Amino acid sequence: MTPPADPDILGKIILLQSTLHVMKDDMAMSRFVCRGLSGIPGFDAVGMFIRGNFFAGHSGYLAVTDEDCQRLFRQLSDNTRTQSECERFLSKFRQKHGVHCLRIETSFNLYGLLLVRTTQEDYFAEIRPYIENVLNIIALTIENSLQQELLLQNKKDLETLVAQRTQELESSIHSLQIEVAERKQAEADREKLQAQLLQAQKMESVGRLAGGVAHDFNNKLQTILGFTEMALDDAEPESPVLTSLVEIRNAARGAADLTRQLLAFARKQTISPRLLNINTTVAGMLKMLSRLIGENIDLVWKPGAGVWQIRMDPVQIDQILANLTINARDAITGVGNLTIETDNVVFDAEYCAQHPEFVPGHYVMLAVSDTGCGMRREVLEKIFEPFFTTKSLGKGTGLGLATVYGIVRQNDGFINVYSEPGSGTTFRIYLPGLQAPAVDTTKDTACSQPLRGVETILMAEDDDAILNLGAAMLRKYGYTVLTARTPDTALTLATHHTGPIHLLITDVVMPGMNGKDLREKLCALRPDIRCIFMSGYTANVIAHHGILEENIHFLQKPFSMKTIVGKVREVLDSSAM
Amino acid sequence: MTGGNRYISLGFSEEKFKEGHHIVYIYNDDVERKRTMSKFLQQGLLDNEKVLYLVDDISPDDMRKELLELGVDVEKKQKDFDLTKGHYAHCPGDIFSREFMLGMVGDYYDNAICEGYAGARGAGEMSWALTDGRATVSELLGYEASLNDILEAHPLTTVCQYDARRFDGALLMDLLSVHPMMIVRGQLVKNPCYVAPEIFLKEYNERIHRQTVQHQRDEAP
Repeated sequence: MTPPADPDILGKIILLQSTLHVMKDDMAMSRFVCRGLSGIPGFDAVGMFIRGNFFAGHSGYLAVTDEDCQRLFRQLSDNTRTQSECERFLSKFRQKHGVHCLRIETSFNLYGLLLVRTTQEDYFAEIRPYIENVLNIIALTIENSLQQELLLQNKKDLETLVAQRTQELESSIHSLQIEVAERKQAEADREKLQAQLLQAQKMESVGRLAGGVAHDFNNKLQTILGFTEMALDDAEPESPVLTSLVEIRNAARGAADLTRQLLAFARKQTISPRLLNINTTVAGMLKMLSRLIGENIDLVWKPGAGVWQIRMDPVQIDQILANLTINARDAITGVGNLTIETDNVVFDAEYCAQHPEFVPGHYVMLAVSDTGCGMRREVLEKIFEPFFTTKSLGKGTGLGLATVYGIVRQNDGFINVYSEPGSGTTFRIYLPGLQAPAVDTTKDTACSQPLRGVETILMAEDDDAILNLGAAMLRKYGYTVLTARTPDTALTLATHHTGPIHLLITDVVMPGMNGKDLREKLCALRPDIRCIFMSGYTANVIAHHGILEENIHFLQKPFSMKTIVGKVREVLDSSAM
Repeated sequence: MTGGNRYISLGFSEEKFKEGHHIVYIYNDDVERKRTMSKFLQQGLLDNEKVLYLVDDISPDDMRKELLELGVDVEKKQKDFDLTKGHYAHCPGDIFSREFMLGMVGDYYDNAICEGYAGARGAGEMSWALTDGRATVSELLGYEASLNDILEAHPLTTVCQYDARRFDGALLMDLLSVHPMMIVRGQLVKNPCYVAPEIFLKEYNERIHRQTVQHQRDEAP
């Protein structure tokens, strides 16, 4: 570059270069440069166009507008334009507006334009490189500030990104913690369910065993009890064996009670459910329960208002309350309270998801609470197992709560037990409720008809002892009894017997043919024949899950003489077949 | 341009300059400004000069602490160093008076010589002058241009500080034009844009006249 002729001019341009850095913004920079260049004789810096803004110089030359600059800037910024095209645009601009246009640019970017008017074209050509050098510094200053802004933005973005990532990480950690907690909960739930399943399987197994034993045992008891009663009937009042016979009969009845409880636990107890109002049933038991608990314990009865009806054998409510009351009495030392309550309860799906043993629906709650000694958790886990007892030897059979459990399950209900050692225990029993206010359906079904009869009865039983006993009992009351040890024998007898056969008494489970089939075949031969089924348990042949179908007459083994003749008379006298 | 006969160091380099220079310092970085001015002031104290510093936007006490941190011996040389708030010194009653200002400069130098100092130097933050309507641009430029003549007779070496962040670019160029010397990036250089006071004021007044006429023409219906 050839130095300009006037060293003062060069000095001014150098001054512009060296002072530009203190200018605060584009406007200050452009006005500073314009004023500086306009100080050169014969020159007028008309204005500067930087980053989209036009800053006019001090001369007030108005031949160039902001729009003119915008248009030229767009043309020069168009990367598709060639160098010669750009020169042509600049040349046209100069011709049109009478000003030189110098680019404010770096190697890569065009940032603005400087517009200079001069009356000394030759001199302008001479100093133009120096002015362009100033403009180059302006472009570099702009580029530098942009990069700083970009750097600051990047820093800000980076900080934002770091904050965002940190938040994401915290969120992930939180999610992970929740997931771990959920997994732990799921694991705990699974273990709980597994324990419940094992418990249910265990109870079922014990129930099957108990049911089987009870059935066989029942037949033996039937024989003992029946023959004892017959012997008692035949014995003279002063007979020395009379006392012994009474003891045998009492012991046999006690044993029968035990087997009945076992059958209840095993859900093999045959029941006759009917619609009932639990409040009425409980109220009817209160006097008996008061006697059971004694004077030191207050019995509090809180019947729920408008409780729904339940479908249940009222005898089972008796069994439940009796067992729970006895347990409560034994748990209370000295004085205390026993509270019986009823209420309506609804379990929704959400609740049942938390309590897997429950099923959604409407239930009637029967709660029995005591202020006794309570139970430890280890005890609670076993209370429904048959023969489990915390009572001293001879004081408890261990069948009370097992019976309650069996009854509740047989009726599709649930039990919840809450106990605090030292504070007391509450048993809550939930029985399926029928959503209609309960009405009192209790009625006296006692039969006072005479027990004797003259009808002919066909008795089918594969156990010889029971067959002979039953026949003897009935004959004693005037009946004619045909006995059959197998169903085929029964059919043969029915075919060949010339007189009427009024009643069939048949065991439910027999080899070759069950009692129900036998009745159907006999009905084909003798349509008017009536029927009583007898069994130690029901085995689903005539009852569904132990619940008798309507119009089915059933005689639970072991039976007493009074029971069998009463039942026979009831069936023979009833209008229903 | 300068009336003094003494050659002094201004603190920026080893080079000696004739006393009574009128220097402009345009800055936009406070750290750089403090560093630059501390050199100028310290050198004056070292050379047995009476030193005046008129500050703005900072209290004299705070400025004293800052100068101490920068190595200026303001404690030991307390009597040699006048540190005051700019507008109190320049504008009694908050009214800018070119005559008062010029008189104050001359008096300060003369008093220093009378007190036995070898000379005097002063620096002042001038950014205050145009704030709150204390002075017009014409008054300020007129003062700066006239100061050159005063310093011929009373060679108080003077640095006028201007904060570039507070002024228009064109005005900065005008301010440069009335100072024969300038500090650029911490170095003292001759100002190639300097215009003799009478010429500058003539051109400036013509320019203002042109602008006024143009303005009136634009406003005319």
